[in-house]
Amino acid sequence: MKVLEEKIGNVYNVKISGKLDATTSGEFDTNLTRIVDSGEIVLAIDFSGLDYISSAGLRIFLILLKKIKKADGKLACHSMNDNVKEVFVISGFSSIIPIFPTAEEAQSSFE
Amino acid sequence: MKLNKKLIFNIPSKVSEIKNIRDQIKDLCIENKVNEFDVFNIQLALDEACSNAIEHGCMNKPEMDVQVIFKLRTDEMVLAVSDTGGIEFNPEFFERIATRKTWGTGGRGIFLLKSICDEVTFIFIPNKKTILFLKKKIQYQK
Repeated sequence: MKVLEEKIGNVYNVKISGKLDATTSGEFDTNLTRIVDSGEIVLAIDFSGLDYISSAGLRIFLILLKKIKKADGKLACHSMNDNVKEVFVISGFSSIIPIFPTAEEAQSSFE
Repeated sequence: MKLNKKLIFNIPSKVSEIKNIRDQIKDLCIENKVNEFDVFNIQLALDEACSNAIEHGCMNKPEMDVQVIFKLRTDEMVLAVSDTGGIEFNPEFFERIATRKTWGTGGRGIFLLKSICDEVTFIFIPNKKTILFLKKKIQYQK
């Protein structure tokens, strides 16, 4: 799994690539905790490079969402492939985590 | 043509062992032209079943063993994951947690398994082993 970070304006963009499962979720959680703890609470997560996610990965987004809500921040996920999006839908996560088809739509949700 | 392929894995109870099994099962499915969406869901089912066996059945103790049997048949896949932890639990309880709006972090794996598989059966042999049987209808590429 690979994580790329870039801040554009007040939005902190995180791009994840590879597979998010029980083996890699701990590292990703550490990355996200560092980002939120440093005060970045408006996050756009780019899923375009992510080809697999399990419940261990979903759990990280639940923890992230709770932290961001507590800090009065915003979260938007975008560019998921169909398989990954389906996992969010069947798990019910798509009803609590904002998911957008494109990066532009995710950015617009912050305005 | 009738298809009946089988893979058997015996691993120590460590989540880092799951990837190798997942990759081999994925390769077998691709080789046999299983539909891409089903390949994804088979990997997800395997991942959730193994994580459950390792984290809850064996309490992450690597000295314990987990066995995975995967069968690819003409119209379905069968997955049996057994652990030697012998810890009994109520899967319905965790499933209920996962559906509650309080959105606790537990129970997602079982909830996902029940969503993507056609049959999910736990067999408990107290203090000896737990076996999770999964069945899922699959489609092949034309």
